[in-house]
Amino acid sequence: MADSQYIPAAPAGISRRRAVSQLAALGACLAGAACTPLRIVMHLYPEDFKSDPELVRRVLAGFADAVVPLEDWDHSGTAATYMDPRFPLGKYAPFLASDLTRRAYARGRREPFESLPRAVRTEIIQEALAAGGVTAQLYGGAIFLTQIVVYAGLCHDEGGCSAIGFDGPYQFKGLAATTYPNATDFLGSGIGVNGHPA
Amino acid sequence: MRTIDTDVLVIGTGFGAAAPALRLAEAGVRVHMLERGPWIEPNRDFRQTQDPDYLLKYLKGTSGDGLNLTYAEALGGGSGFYEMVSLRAPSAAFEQVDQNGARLWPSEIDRSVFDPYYDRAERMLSVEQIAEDRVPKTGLVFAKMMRNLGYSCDRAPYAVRNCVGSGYCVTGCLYGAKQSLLLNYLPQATSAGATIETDIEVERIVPAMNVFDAPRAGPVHELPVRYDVEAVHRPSDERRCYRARVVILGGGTVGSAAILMRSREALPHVSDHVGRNVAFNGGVKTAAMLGPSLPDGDLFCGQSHPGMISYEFLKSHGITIAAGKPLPIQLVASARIRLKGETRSPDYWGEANVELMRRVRHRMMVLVAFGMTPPLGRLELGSGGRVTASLQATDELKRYYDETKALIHGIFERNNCDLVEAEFLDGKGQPKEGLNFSTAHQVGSCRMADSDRQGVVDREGEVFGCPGLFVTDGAAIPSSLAVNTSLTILANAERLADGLVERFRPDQGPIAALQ
Repeated sequence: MADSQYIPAAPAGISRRRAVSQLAALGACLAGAACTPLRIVMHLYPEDFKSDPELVRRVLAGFADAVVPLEDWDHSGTAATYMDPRFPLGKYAPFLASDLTRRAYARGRREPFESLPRAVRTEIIQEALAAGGVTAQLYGGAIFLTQIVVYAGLCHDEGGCSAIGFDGPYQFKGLAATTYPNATDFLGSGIGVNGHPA
Repeated sequence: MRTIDTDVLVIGTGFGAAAPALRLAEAGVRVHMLERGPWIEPNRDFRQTQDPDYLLKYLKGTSGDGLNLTYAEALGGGSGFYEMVSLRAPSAAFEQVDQNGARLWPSEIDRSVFDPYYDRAERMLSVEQIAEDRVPKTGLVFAKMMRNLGYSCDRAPYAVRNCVGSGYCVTGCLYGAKQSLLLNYLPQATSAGATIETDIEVERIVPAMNVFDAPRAGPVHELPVRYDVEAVHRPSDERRCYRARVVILGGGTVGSAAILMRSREALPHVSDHVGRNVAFNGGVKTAAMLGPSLPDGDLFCGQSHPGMISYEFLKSHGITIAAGKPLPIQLVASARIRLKGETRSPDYWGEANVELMRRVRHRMMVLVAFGMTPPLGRLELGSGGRVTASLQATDELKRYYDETKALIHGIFERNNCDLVEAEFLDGKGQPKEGLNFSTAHQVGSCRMADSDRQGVVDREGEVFGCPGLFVTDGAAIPSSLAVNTSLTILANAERLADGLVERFRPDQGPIAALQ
């Protein structure tokens, strides 16, 4: 897939003049740069995040590493999934990356978000969740997707997720691996009729 | 518009549709089946995967205030994707009453009426109680937990032959072990002459005549065309009209109700109960980490249902309890989980969550209670014909939820398990507020009743006010069952099929028709 597909499209059907007039009307909200929905809708975030998918991928890999911290785990595949247009986060991924970066610099840090220690990245995400509203929804949705992608092994469908012992597709280990040989030690009495309720 | 003529049109190919199609075809009736979802060849199309693209191709959902329903759209309906546990409904399920004391099921319909049809359905699906040496580890540990407390637990019956324990029952069995309808009813129906079309979306049913003017029984090929069924072939957008003497709705609790709601203008006599009275088996899900004295379970190995079910609280609380074996995607997509008393922050993601998830496979026990909850769900047509579900969350229902959860927590705690708190999520990963039930066991949207003041179809499945139009699927089942619904839907469809064959078989003489 071409990288250009990750770049958010300009709002359809809105002329430059109309967009400017809308911006003026909404100036109070936008001046604070804290109104997440408007910033998403109006694509009001740095151009770099719209045009540099590698930057977005790097930042979001740092996000994934804080959400599902696993040693020796490459989260670049997780980050690529965020940008997959099949998932609801796809169109918001550049904004999410820009917002993480903004929050990192707002703390007076010199390093970009993805270079910060994991504990600091975790605090930044918690701060965003605590903001409530659409911001919390966006971050909550991103955490949700991260957990699904990693634990369900969506990045590498044939591999499962070794971190939680999930093997992925069946490996023909034999029925003996699925049960215990001494079933009677576990089973008590039943009150059904051939397993059915009376 | 292309027009297709048939004697009996069966809408759907799932548990409610397959039995009447097979029995009528065997009786020599010309039967045509329509399926909204795609054709499936198990060996070619089923996959062992959690890829959302794959799952969402076949599994659909509708949700709204407090109620989330999942159903399948594919050849064979839900049979390709269910957990194959095949249980008869308890006798008490047939005796449930509404708030006025009126029986939910039509008079004289009880478990004894169903038993011969359960027998037939079980033969068709090769249902057998799971053998002791095949019960998955998680089921055995659940049985041990119940035994520790002096409670009963039964080995459950399954529709399976030569199971290899792949653990992917819910994404479709690649090995031909699960006895879905793709292996029995549907091929037998086509061998008997029935035809099946997939990717056909039925829009509405329109009378082709004054429906009361034709006989209600008799050799079906001698009856006039009663209904036109307007449909669209999805891939090509080609509009089609199916002309039929008899129409059988077997498109599932959501699908059949939606078609009748879309047809309301053309079928003004249909009861106002369409879409109401949805029963949902009151599923209460809880989880805990196993206590130190309990051996490991295994959520990711062996058949999808853990093999054991307890009827201990059926009489006292109207519930059954079984263990669950969610795949990772089912676990993390349904809830934010954290250990009760977890003091670290964040608790449902980050290090605390990873630590918990590492133990999930072998140490987590998920218990699911199904109950005889009242039919308080409702389906409605929203904008663009989309169906939405909602729930009337009564105090009684809230009390049921709290008491059931407390009962299961008690089972965990007395086995020294550590409770896991779950915050259930919607499809966007946002916490659901208030009382919420998620199920694939929805029934009753066109329920059977003694009259149109109580329901939509009579005890023979015929829609009140619409002769020749039948509902034979889960939509007709009038109550929660406290167990998985598939076998009861199939048994009822077999029961109704007998009546349909008797009424419409081609080899009867004119006197039978008059009778």
